[in-house]
Formats: sequence, structure tokens, C-alpha cells
Amino acid sequence: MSGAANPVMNIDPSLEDQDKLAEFEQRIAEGVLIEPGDWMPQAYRIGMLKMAEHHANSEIIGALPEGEWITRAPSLRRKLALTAKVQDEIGHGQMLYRVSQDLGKPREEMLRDLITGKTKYHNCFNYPAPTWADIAMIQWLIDGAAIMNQKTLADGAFGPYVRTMHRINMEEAFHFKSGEDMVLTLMSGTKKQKAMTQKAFDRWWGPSVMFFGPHDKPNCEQLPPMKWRMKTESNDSLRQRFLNRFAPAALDLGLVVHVCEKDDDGMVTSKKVDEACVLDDATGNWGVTDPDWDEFFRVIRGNGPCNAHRVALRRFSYEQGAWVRRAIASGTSSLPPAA
Amino acid sequence: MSKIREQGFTFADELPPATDSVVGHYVVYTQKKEGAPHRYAGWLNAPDIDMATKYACEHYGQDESCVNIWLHDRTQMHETPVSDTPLPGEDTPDDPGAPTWAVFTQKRRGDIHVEQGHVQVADQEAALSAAISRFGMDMTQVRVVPRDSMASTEVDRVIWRTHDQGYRLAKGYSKSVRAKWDAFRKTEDIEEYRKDDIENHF
Repeated sequence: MSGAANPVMNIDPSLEDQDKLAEFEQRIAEGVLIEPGDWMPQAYRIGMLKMAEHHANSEIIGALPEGEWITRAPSLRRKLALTAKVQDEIGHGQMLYRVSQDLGKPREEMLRDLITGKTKYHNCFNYPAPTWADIAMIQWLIDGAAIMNQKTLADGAFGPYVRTMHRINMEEAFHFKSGEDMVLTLMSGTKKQKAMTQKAFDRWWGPSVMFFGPHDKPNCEQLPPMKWRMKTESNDSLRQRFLNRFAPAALDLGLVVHVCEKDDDGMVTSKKVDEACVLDDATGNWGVTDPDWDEFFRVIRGNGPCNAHRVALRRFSYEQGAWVRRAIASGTSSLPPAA
Repeated sequence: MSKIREQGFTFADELPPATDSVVGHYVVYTQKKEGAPHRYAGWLNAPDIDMATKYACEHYGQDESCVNIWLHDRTQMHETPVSDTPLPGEDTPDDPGAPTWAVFTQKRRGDIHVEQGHVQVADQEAALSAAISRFGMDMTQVRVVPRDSMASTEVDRVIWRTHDQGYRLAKGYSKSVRAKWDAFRKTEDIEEYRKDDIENHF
């Protein structure tokens, strides 16, 4: 699982050296990759840092809901796979924090900013995963969406981030295939398994459609994030590709796409079939009812079902691990704090 | 779920003091097969090179099949600026009594650095110049690192576990997933769906 890199960016190119900026933009337009030693606008550096840090935070937090299921995995092979996946996600976080460090922010500061709420992580990790089928849906839908997004990020312009994306995407391929296998197994199973999978699908379809972020501004291609190839495809374009891939696959599996209402705990309270989720023969595109963007922004502001718990668990781990970091960094030993 | 994860957390108002970490930056290269060049994997923070080596084995060594890992402190590497024009360099004959420098090159911007060989010359300036001359043709960047500053994993130490690790690779699921899809979908729909798969995995 990974985070789409769609943090809010306030970038003002007018503050840059205009000659150097023009040369930089020319290089970007020619498809030249930017390496750390090259001149880059300060706004580009800050934008890339925000993007990489947000992505790193998402990897670290994203491992939490899945980590809860390692001890309850239904077979030894699934347990091994889930353990490896959680390990991968933390590794992705490490690599992305290193990209961010190279852009000028100390690692310790990033870890502290995450648990004090100064920086954010991807919205989708603030939803609950109450059943094993939720883990299957996270790996199929969320990792599927992440791969779609990250394949385009690997075509970006910042060399270190591109290299890291290539490395991460290789492992995401395993995460996705594992999730696909889990969903297929459940939907080939008993009535109870299918019902559990449908309920999990109802919980995760909405967050998956919102995964790519809100609708784009009309001139998004001309704004710095896309103009400077920090990202290479618009939110709506990625969302459409996601729908075209996953909506027909879900229907063929026997799943029903619903428009759901949820309570404060993220559990579905009512649902109706999404009549908009059909293929438009003229365009070849699948439709979907527009997600509840009020919910999206409510969760971003910290009021989602699991925001408080996720950040608290991260802070708990950070505080519990302080004595290990001190011992490693300074060679001094001390006792761990009480759990 | 573990009891720790279920508990309601209570914290002090302030975070504990930041760890005063004095750590080095270590660059990591992995070798996939015996005789293959070492390729840049990434870098990591560690208090010393021994700890960095252990950490690299667990992190980068477990990501992909590999037989050896090299590391060096980032301060030990010397490299040319990334250049889009041919790099200038004069060769200096190897001096058997001089230090050995490992040479890595980056072919295009965004590529990873790959081991090309070594030069044996007196100092970093001569090392870079000789490395450019011998290995820098059509490269965007050349890097040299004194070989005696580099750590290597022990010979024959198993890094990539030898038991079946199909469960942690995409290819470990491919056949089973395909067989299961066949029960649900038409072949052309599966092929269309698979276009977004990542084909090249470790």
C-alpha cells in the first residue's frame, strides 16, 4: 500500500530567478531529469519535499491497519505474505524519508511532524479494516490505485524520486497480486465469505475512488506540479483509468458497486446500487457517482474514523523506540519504558 | 488484535526530546549474481559502517535476490557533476603501489550508478580523471570511491534467504491468479485488465 502524492502545494514561481527558471523549465519540457546537484527553483525543492514526505508518511501509517492482521491471517502463507508486505511498506517509508532528507529536512523532524499533525498522510488510511476481507480489498483496490499513480510518478522529473519509485513499484506488484489472489479466493468461496467480501468492498470502494484526490483545476497542466513534472497525470485522468480497470472487474467477480452512507466509525449504515456505474459506449469509460468530497476534506482535517488512533499508535511507537535510537546513536544504554 | 493496539493512549503534552542522533550516511550497492557488477540500491543512516552493513542486509538485501553488498560512507565518494556533454579526463597508468578506487558510472540522468571496474592511482583527482578516461564515454556522471573505505558483506554469507520466497514476489501469484480469473471473466477482459500490471519485477 502506498500513498498517492497529492499533498496541498502552494508554489509561487514568480519568486524565482526568472532566467534560471526559464532554463529549468526548458530542460523539464525536453524530458531531462533533475539530479540533486542541479539548480532547481526553491518552490520545486519545497514541492518535491512535501510530496516525498507525504508519501513516506503514508507508507509508515499505511502499514498500521495491515499490521493488525498479521496475527490473525488465515494461513501460514498469508501470514508470511502479510508480514513481508508490512516490512516492504516500512522499507518504502525509509527510502522516501531518505529522498526527503536529501531535499533538506532532517528525518527526526519528519517523524515528529507526523505525530504532531504538522504533516499529513494519505486519507485512505483513516478507515477501519474490521475483517480479513478488508485486508484483501486494501491490497487489491488501494494498492491497485497506488500502482496506477506511482507508475506515472516514475515518469516524473526528479531523479532520486524516480529511482525510488521504480524500486517501490517492483514490490507493489507483489502487494497487488497478493491482494488480487485474496479477493479471488474469497469470491470463489462460501456464501459467508462472499458476503464478507461485499461488505469490505462497500467500505473501500469510496475511499478508492477518492484515492487520487479531488477534481482537478481546469488549468492543472499549466500549474507547477504538472508543468514541472512533479506529477505527470491529472487526478481525474488517473481516477478514470482506475474505474475502467476495476469497475468491470468487480462486477464480473459478482460484487455490487454501491453508494454508501457511513457512521462516524466508518461502518456502512445504508447503501443503494450505484446506477451511474455503467459503461458509456460512446466514450468507452465507466461512470461512478461522484464521491462525498465533504467526507474527503473532513478526513483530511483529522476527523476520519481512525485518524486519532493511527497517529496515537505511531506516537506510541516513536516514544517506545526512543531508548533504542538513543542507544544506537550514542552508545549509551538504558531500560525500555513500560509498555 | 494485540492489547497494545486496542488500548486508549495517553500522552504527555510535549513530545520527548528529539534523539541527538549523530549518524553517518552510507551508500549501498547490491550484486545480484556472482561476477555481476554492483548496482546502486540506495542509502541509509547508521552510527557506523558495521551497523550499516547489517542494516543494508536486512533492508536492501531482502528486497531482491543478491549475493553481495558494498557500502561506503557518503563522504568517501568523489564524483563529477552530472553532465550532458562528454566528460573530460586524462588517463593515468595504474600504479601497483597506489590505492585502488572503485569506479561507478551513471549512463543517463535518473539511472542508477553501476560498477564499471577500478583504477589504481595516487589521489582522488587522478582517480576521477582516469575513471572518466577509461569508463566515462557517453556517461553523465562518474564516481570513484577508495576501495579500502568500502565495507563488503562476508564471502558466502547468505543475504537473500534460500527457502521458497514465492509468497513475497508477484510472480509467486501469477499462475494462481490467472486460473482464478478464468473462472470469472472472458479472456479478452482479463488481458485488458492485465495491461496495467507491472511486468518487470525483481
